[in-house]
Amino acid sequence: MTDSSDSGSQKSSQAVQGWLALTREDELDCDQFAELLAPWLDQRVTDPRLLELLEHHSRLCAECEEEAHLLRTALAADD
Amino acid sequence: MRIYLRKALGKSFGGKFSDGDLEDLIQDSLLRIHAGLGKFQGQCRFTTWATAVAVNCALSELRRRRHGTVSLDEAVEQGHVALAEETAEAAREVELARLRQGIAEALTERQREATLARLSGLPLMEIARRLDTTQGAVYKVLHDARLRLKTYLETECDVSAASFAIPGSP
Repeated sequence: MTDSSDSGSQKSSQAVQGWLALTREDELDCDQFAELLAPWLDQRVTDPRLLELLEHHSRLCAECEEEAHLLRTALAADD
Repeated sequence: MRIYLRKALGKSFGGKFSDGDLEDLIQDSLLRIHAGLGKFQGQCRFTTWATAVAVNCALSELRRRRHGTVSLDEAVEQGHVALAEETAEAAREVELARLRQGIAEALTERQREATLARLSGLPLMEIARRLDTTQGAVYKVLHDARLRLKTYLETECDVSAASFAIPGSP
């Protein structure tokens, strides 16, 4: 689900087709992703299935991907 | 913590907030962190968890500012118009018509509303705010909509899953 800010001039039908291509039965929703985000970035998530679900949600949800990117950047400030 | 969050948000959001707004965001974040302390169970570093709360707070504010004046009805209408007025080269006309038909026929009213609002560019977070629900709940509605639409296209229109392109994907 790309955000308008991310999809640029992408047509609506292309956006829908992109969503459908990644659609499957087992997906994390945004609330589940948000709950796992900090442990994920701290490398505390080790279950391969959960890691794959996190990666999949990142590809499908541009908003959560943006949030993860911003959090990574924010944490880098502490390095 | 206040100094730490100021530095962290400054790095992430650059000049997107004034100094005063940034202070307000940090204050809001500290209140949310305090209120949510009971939920923190040591599943990550405390600073990572607290920074995640602050980033979510700042991103919510940014999205609210970008999309705050658009109503859900307006967003749905924008999504509808964008899809209805889209043109395609001859080879994709049938494909486009099937998608329009699928959205019109296969989805429930709520699924169609969320899908069209999403197509207008309204973020999930903002759709959730207008529906007084969570982003995860809106995601589930859209997930169900995608599954229904995919099944519809595969069964009614004989479109194989493999034919769905992923525009712009790596």
